[in-house]
Amino acid sequence: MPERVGITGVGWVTGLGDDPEIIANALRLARPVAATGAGLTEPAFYDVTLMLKTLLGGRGWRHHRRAALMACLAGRSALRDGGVSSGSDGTQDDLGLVLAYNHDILSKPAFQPLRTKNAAEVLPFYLMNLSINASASLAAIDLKARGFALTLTSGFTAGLEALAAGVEALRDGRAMRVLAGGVEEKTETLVSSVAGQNQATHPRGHVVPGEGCAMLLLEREQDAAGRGQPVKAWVAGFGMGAQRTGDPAGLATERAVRQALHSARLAPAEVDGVYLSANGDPVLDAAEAGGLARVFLAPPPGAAVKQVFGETLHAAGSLNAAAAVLCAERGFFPGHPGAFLSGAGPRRILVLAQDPNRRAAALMLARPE
Amino acid sequence: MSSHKPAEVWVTGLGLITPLGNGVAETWTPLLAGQSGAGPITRFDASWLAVQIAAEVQGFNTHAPQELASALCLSAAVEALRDAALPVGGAAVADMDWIVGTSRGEFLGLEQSSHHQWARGQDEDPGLAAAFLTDNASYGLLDRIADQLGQTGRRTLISNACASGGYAIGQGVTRIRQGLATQVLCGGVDVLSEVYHSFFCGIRSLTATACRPFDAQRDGLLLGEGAAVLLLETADEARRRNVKAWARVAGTGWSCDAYHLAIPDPSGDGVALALRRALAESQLSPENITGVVAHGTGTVSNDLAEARAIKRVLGKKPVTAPKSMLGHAMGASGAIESVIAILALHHRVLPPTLGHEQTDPACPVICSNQPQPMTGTALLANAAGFGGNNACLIFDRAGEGPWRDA
Repeated sequence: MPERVGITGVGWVTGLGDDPEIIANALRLARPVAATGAGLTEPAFYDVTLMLKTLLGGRGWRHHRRAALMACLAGRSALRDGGVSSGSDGTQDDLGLVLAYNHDILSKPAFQPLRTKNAAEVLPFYLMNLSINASASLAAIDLKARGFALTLTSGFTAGLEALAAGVEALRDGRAMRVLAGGVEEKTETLVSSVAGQNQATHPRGHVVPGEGCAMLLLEREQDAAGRGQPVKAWVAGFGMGAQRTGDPAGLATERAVRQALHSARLAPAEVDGVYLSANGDPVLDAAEAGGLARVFLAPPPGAAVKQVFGETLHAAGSLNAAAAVLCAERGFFPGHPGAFLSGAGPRRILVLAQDPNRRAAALMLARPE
Repeated sequence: MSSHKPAEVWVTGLGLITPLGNGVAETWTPLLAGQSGAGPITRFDASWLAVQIAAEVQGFNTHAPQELASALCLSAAVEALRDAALPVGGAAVADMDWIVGTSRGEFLGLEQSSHHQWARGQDEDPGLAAAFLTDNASYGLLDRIADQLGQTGRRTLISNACASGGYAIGQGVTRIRQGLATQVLCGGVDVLSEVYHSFFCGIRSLTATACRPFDAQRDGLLLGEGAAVLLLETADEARRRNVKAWARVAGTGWSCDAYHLAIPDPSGDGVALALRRALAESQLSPENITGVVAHGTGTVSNDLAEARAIKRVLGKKPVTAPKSMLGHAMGASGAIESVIAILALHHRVLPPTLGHEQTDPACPVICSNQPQPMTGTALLANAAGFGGNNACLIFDRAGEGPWRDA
């Protein structure tokens, strides 16, 4: 049996703030992020800028991308929630970081010199911000994470895969603790991308773009137990699938789910609830449902938390997983107030992520007995 | 998440596209002869920039800029699969993991599309950026290559700046060791970019003449492009398929300087940490490491930090810096230099470091502009990148193998 890896801390930055109780209440009530509907041309956002300025202050941070600030803040929160003080306990060489992120690479200040052919307009600082790994690197500096800082940029599945990569790194001895998650910031590119997705898939498509970050602190069982830190959930299994051509039937999701169940040594009937990737895109949602229908004879309850967070792309998988941990701790399942009448909540939870490029990921979480 | 089965990881397939040649053999011969891949930039208009040379891959001129990186990487991947006696589109390829490292994906295509728009008097089209994000971007590259290879398993894109390729290989090793995969296709790719070239000019990191890593007169790096892909598999699977291996991946080490976004920790502590981890994992002693295929960019600060770290962990070792000939292929460089380390083991010779005349006394390494014959069985390849990312890989040909004949 592989050594168990658990989640011992969760940190957030969302449009709702970083307070777990406020986020839990929004999930409990399934409060929609914004009005949705046909012809959405100026999608509503949960914009975290003001909150970041309040929490981090402006000095020293103002030149960096908002994604980097969110990653730093969520990372700090996750360490604090997990009872770890970053860099002050002599373990910074053993703290690793896996961050899912893409970025607004079409940065106007970066492209301006090309347009004018004026070398004097090249602002060297932007080079660092053009690096996709800038957010992870800044977070590593801020959190004193010298173990490693890995950036995954594989699209909508990356946030969930970051957790799997964190588990794999721990089992391979690359670190003693890993902060894993994803971040996405509001950019013109993201708005256009989601608007394009809306138009391309269905005239009434209503994907609402969002931004935010979730970071989860991962530890091996013996390390968490050694310092008396309770485990919020075990990462029990992971799977990924892809299809070469269009995937209306959700074959990628089916493969990912079967792999996750297999690696967790669970049968479909043992799954108590599913945190769906569902983002309001009719084609993607139908594919996800189709993939699940072929795995589950009796579908477990499903939750679609993107109505709270919006479609946060690289952050989506980690926000989904963080929501699953948060709600399970509190004994409820979003959108299904009567599903777990005992108050114990779901114990075995499947978390999904799906990418328009015909890729899907599935993570199996198990609450401690 | 799966039954843990520490497996020995072998390299059974290699693919390489560099400015010196499109293929493993096509690159190795001129590399050993000390030829330079540098020349005037043709990928974009560099007339407005202070430095107008780089090392460009030849022979992919029919590919659209929007798909150039994909084309280079696909070509290297196909070569690696064939080298490992695996058919493209076969069942084995469908199920294997695919991991690629890149610092920017198809960025050149985005730049050129923008130029076309500006020429028409239009502003940047947000839709263009959106398409870049979802289709032509870094992860469009990931899927485009996988689709053409017939791979439908786990696909991962890593962007750890110039250490991306090294991290991709390390991630592949991790999955095989843990029994999560039997075979992993992994590597790195990057192509030249006007934006990035302009910024490297802006921070005065580029040489206008020649890249001379570890030399007392070194004055900067030479940008390049290319792709390298390796087929990793368990020793058991290679034996079952009756294929010989190029080498074994004996150890991998990662670390982060956590020091500065663009400047390496001058103490070399971060690089040294990655070296120590790789060495510990390999269970080899410093004396077992014959030499180092260095990251060796030719900048004063990078070479100094790397040389100090090598000396501290391994002692004063022979090094080679292929970037002196190939240029710095950014996210591909860690994978390219891993392939070169494996070829050096195979041929028992370290390639020269072009233009190296007098080793900087502050850089405690043995560097030469001539090939350095070697007798040992283990070599180390080093990669480092913006943000303080360090990835180190140790390859060896110890034990019975069977290894490919030299």
